[in-house]
Amino acid sequence: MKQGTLQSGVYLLWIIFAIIFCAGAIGLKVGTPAHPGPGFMPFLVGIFLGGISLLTLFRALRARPKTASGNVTELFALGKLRKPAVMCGAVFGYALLLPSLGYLPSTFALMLGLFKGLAAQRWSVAIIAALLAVILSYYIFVVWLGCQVPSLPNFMVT
Amino acid sequence: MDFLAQAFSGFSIAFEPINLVYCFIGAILGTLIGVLPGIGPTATIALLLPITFRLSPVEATIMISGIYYGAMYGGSTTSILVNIPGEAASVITCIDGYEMAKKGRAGPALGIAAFGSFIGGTVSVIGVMLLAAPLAAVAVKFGSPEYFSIMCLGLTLIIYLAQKDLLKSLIMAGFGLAMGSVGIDLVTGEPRFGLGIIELNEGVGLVPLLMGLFGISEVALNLEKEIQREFVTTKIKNLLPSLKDWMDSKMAIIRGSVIGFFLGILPGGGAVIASFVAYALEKKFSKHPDKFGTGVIEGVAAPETANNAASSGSFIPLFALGIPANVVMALLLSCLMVHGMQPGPTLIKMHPDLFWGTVASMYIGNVMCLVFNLPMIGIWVQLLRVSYKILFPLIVLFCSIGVYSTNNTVFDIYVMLFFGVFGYIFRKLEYEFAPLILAFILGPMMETALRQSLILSKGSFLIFFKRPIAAVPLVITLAILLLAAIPMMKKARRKMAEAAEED
Repeated sequence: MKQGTLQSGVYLLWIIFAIIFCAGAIGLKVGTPAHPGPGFMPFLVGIFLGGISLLTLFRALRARPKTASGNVTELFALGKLRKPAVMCGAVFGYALLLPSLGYLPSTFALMLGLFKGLAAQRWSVAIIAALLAVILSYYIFVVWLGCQVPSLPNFMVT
Repeated sequence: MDFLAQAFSGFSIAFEPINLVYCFIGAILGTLIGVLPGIGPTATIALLLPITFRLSPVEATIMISGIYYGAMYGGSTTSILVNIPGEAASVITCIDGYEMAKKGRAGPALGIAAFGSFIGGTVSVIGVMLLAAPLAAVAVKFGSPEYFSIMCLGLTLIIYLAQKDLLKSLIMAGFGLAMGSVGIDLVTGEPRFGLGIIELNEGVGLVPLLMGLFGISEVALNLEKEIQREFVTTKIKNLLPSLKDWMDSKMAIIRGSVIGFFLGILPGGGAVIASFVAYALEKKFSKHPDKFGTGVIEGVAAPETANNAASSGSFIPLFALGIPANVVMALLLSCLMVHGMQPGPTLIKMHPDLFWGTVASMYIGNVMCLVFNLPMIGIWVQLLRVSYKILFPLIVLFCSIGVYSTNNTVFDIYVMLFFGVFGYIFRKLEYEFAPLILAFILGPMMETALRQSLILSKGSFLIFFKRPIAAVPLVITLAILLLAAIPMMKKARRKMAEAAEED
């Protein structure tokens, strides 16, 4: 897929977003200029966003395809997406585990996963780095700053 | 005399041991992140915002200020030694700085960058002391129409000065305004666009949004590639510039200070623009413009002086008007609001300790940066060798726990992830996020000002043009948009003509 096609698709998505946003604003009650309601500014924003997106879509459709245009498969190649996807997956897993497992185990798991899985460090380096990261962050956020975060798993806390 | 008394009081606050500590932490941290490519002052301040919420307002402001101007000092080190800008405002320094380093003149380049930064920063701080309070006194007369107009101008300037596509920046601004609408309506108390999620009734969190856009998406992009760094391996010597270096740089430093200060005040201006303009102007005034790009010391002195001057100058609109001039000031604004401070022209009067303490600490911080930067060059060079494979897990962790600690809810981590993916995709599609951030923060303020103005005028939009202080920024805004639209229309017409000819 050419990049120009992707860009046009994205502008179309913006237009759809703007339409939905305007519809939401109308649902909130736009009011009148003399008595602007909660939907007044969102409605104006939706019109603005939709108008600009339409303009950019029009421009993109009229643009001549360049002979050496960027290819979207290069931009979003699976090989390039793998590491970012794994990183996001690790953070998502961290968010799932944090409330039940507590800060210390889940943070250690996250750090070990990132140091070993993505950064490809040796096991010894990954474990030591993960432990140091957990201790440092625990000290900064929980001890020094007093953040309220469950440190241990629920079943270990009486 | 009152001015002197207040300045003296500011120094007494700045010299309190705890404030000195936070000034030092901010300055060193700022220099460190300025040195390290891949993370800039905006992302760092965003990462540290949850921490600053737990400090006093003065401590938080001093630390954030220190990070901002410290980053300007640190950015020159990587630009000169590695030809990779440590942060955006040091991009232009790469051109002549690295060439000087290749010729064995890394020392004088680093030295003049540090001294120029100090002079520019100091001149700018004096300007802040002299201008902010009188401007605030004038701004007390501003009403909702004036504020709406000035905020429109600020947002438009950020969009216009965007490095990439103007229309895409407008889309980002629109999206930022839309995100700013999420949450409880301040006037009616009605929930808006919450999608039935309780956490969204308080709006989209600034911290998750920033961490996602600048932290997670930046890491995701950097993970795709191996960052190759070519170091200048010759020994760094003669950090103190020679008399000839000073004579060659003096006008660049003077001009850079003035340009940087005034561009810093301008909403939408800032350190990046200031560094580019100062370099271009210096080349124009130079007796040997053809030598720029080959390693002339003025090519380092001008941008480095200007970016520091701009970073300090940008505090004026924030303290005097309550309007952030750039994204970093917008973050500081949100920090002040979390601490219950009402940004605006009365801020200086109601919280003189905050203003004068911060300004005084900026003097002290500039001295700290100068004193520590040059002797610590060796340490910064070693830090540059730290692999990104060690850094990125720590960045991810700080993002995640920082976001969680704001409201003690994992929902914010999911929001951060959403914006991380959003940021990753749209960076690849060459969108800029500065308009999004500024619109997100200014949006609620603009909406309040707009609604109040319209209620005042019984629905007439002419109120913005009938009041002179409101009319001027709005007319400038429209002129800027027209100025941007005309070349685009000409280009489109030319393309249509070409297409018709070929058909």
